[in-house]
Amino acid sequence: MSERPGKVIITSALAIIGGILTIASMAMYFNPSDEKVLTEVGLALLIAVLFFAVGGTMYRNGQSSWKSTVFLCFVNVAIIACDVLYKTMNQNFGVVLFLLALFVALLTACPSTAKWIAADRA
Amino acid sequence: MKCCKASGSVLGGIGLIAVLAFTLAWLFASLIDTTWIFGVDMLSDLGVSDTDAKYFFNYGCMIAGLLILIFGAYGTALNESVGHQIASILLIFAGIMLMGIGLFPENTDYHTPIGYALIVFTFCSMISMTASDWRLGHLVPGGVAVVLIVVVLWYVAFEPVGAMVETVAVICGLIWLAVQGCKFILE
Repeated sequence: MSERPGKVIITSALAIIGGILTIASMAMYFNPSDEKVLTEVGLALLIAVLFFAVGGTMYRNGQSSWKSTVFLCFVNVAIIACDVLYKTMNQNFGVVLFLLALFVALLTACPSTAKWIAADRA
Repeated sequence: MKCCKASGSVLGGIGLIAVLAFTLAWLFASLIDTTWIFGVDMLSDLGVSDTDAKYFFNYGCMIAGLLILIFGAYGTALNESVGHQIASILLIFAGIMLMGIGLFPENTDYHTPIGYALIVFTFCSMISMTASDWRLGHLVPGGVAVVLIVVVLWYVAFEPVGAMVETVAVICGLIWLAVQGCKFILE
């Protein structure tokens, strides 16, 4: 068992920060009188779950394979993009989260991350 | 890929030129026809415009369609992966349909079925190429395609079918083709 590489630590930290930011933005901009409130809350929770799932994969005893994790990352990017385009999320927060998710996806897709997940994670 | 790096670059270059040709045709047509509004009017409205925009749009579609057809045919010959080959064959049909969009403008009976066929062929090609990319470990182009597929499905599911859905689908298709072109160049 080897130490977690810096790239993996950064990826997991960014993913967890992304999840926290998503829930924070949902709480800050919650408006119960909005007719799309259920969509806003549901999508924000889905994005947060995906961020935390990716963050959790980067720890020892994480369970998803590398390809599944990258897939989750890109699905997360897609959902954030839809959320911003559909205007069910604060646009400024949405852009920040989109860039964060994209960065996490690219870091996760790196071969060194793949090597750590496949060989050294367990 | 059963080729050298130069063949991949040519293949990718053809894809990028096809994207550029369609984008420029769309851009010039929309600049000439000032009554056309992005996201409100259908893209095909440019093909029956009262201005010279119709020439830009229709000839642009034909040129881009021909290039996509060549991209698909060349891709079928060069790629060894079955998924890539299926995607390339579907792109050949998509190219023919795009040429058909230019040949048969909106005021003809053939236009609508050709338009739907173009979307179906392109979307199936995207899915096949993405699955193959994923299997071969090309996760970044595959991931971008996943994002584009989800965005298109989102718009189809939650927006009324119309100009905005068509525009988003076309933009996603263009981005996907550009990414594929870059992938073949860098591979």
